[in-house]
Amino acid sequence: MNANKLDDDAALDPPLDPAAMLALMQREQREMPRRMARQIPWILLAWGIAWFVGFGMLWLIDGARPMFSVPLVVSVAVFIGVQIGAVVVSAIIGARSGRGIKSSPAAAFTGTVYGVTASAAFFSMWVFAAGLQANGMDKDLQTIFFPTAMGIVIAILYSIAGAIWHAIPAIVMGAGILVVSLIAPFFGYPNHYLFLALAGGAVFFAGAISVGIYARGSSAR
Amino acid sequence: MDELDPVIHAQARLRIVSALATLDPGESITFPRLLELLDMTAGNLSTHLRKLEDAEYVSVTKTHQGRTPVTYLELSKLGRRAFEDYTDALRALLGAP
Repeated sequence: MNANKLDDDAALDPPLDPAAMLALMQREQREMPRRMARQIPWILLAWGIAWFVGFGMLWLIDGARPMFSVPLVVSVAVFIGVQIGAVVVSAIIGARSGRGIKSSPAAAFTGTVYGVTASAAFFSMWVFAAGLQANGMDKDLQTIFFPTAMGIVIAILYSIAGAIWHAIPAIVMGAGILVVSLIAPFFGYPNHYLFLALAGGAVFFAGAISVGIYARGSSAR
Repeated sequence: MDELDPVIHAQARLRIVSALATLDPGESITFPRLLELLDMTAGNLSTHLRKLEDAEYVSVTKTHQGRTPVTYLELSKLGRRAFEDYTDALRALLGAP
């Protein structure tokens, strides 16, 4: 390194005193993950809407009778629609958040295994449900089984993601989703859908707000 | 101040090195993404990166995505070690734990 070049540069960009330089370094290290997390609240918001609207629509099939009822086909179509919407939002924003970053081979391996495991977990849940149906699980029980089984899988995936990527909010949300999913069956059909819509939606909305506050805590860079 | 590495001991370069150190070893970032995250001007970032590259603290990999040239930046082993030494020296100067 040419010392003269650095001397020239020091005049243009003079170092601060040691305490200020340490503070600058700590601020930069604290804010990098915050800046990278800026768009994550939109993913959580999308899932909050998916749970609130999706399960809310399923509740409206029978939950508000005799005053009001939404046809089964419409409710299921909206439920599937909002879930797909949340998946699309997650994929787009997830890709945007990670743009310009090339993972190390070890991190890429972890990410791939996590992604494949997530898909395998959801697929396994459906196969297990099919097995239970083949053994006589009736439709009433299916309405209880599916959301809770899905919630348990999601909760585990959130917690593992939090452990891998050191994201405490993901671990807290995983715990919240697990608790909501396990309590829901005790409300029975159709009110378990209302509970999932309100409490499940609330977990995601709270997550979106918390991560949003954390990410906005970064300076205006 | 003699103990403090002059390559890192400038505000802009300390910001760059601190930011790159938050990435895992082996992880790299494109120039435009780093520019966006640090909110520096392209000229300023280029100038300081060149100094870090000259000192072999930052390794630069030029590649292509389709037909678009992409430059990935990464803190080298030497750079990571220098940053740790700089941090230790700074803390020692301040008597911080």
